[in-house]
Amino acid sequence: MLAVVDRGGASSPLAALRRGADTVFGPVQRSVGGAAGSAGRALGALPRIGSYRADNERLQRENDELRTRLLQQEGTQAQGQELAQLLALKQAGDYTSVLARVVGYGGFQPFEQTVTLDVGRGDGVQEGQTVTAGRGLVGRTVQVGERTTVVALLTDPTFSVGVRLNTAPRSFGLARGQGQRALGFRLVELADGAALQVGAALVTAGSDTFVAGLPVGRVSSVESASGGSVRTATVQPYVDLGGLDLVQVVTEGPRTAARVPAPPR
Amino acid sequence: MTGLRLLLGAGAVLLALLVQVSVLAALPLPGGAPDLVLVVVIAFALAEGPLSGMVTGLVAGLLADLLAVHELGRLALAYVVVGFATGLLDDDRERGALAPFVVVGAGAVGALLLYAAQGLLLGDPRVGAGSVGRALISSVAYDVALTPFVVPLVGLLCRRVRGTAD
Repeated sequence: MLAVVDRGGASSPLAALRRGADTVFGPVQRSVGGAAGSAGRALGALPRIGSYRADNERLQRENDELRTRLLQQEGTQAQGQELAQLLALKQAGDYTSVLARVVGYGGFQPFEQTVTLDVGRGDGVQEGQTVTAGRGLVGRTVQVGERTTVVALLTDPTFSVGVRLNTAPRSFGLARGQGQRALGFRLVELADGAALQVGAALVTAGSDTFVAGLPVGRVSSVESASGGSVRTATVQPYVDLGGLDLVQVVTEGPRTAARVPAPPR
Repeated sequence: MTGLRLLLGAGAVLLALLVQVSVLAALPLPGGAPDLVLVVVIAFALAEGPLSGMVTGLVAGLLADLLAVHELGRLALAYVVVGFATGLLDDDRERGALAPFVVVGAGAVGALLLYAAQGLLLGDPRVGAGSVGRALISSVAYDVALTPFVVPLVGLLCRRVRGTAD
């Protein structure tokens, strides 16, 4: 009887039912059919599985090789960028320096913030020289051997450096390491009423030890002043101290115009 | 101590030092880094007794001191004392499965406090209440995490060497 009713075609009352069924089951069917089809193909492929395995191994080898090559290329690219940055910095400051690679981290107890470089006295490095990386100040050499050098990072508690606000040439402050790799360090005794606000850039003031004008870090928080002109702030170093690779040791400060002694009269 | 055991101790300490300065200390972990050298010293002390613990601790500590910027001998003293103390609990006694973890945790605290105490006596600006507190938490956690990898391995090697020596 149903068949008779169904013969009415599109106008039959059952057409709606069929369309409904199609809407509901269609996707299921297609997926099941697809699965069945793949199962069938898989079964049919069983005899050829040996060749698939060989193919798979070959492709895997190829893939591994390509991935290694890609990684190597990324490595050289990153190194190239780092070198370009160092070169740019060197041109900006115009000082003599040696390029060095970080080969070790001081880490037997959590108090020292140091790294070891692969250059030493033989390369012209001495104690108390400035160490920089592409984006700014890294630290100061503290222990120089024949072939290696230990550098106190600027977060080490024994490290301190004179800094000034980049926008205020006459400001001066002393930044000291706070001991934690991520915590940055503290700027104290900032004289001058210069605007010390979050985000302000700090550069080295320049001294016997430190080259002047090196980017140091950015102010990340300012403590409410307790009156007077002295403010303290926490500074986040520009250089990512956890991921140091290539750095440079400044072996000779910038050559300024020769100062001619006044002739005696 | 036979020659083979000395060789094993020296090799393990050197390997631990290398891994420490080039890999573990470079990890971007909060607080500090795990001290593989100390865990190796404790593992030797647990396997071989207080004398071996002291000798391993002295050599490892001196080498570690040489690679750092603080006064020579500070880590050596800390490691010697910890090596001796943990060596008193060596293998002859019946030990639970958790015992090595407790011993390494206690050893890490002991070594750190010894090092920090010397820092206070010497006026080391790096040692303060805040830094010691942070260091205690992180070093105990990281050193205990190294224990299941280092202590059984060193114990196994020591037994193997002892077996060939007898």
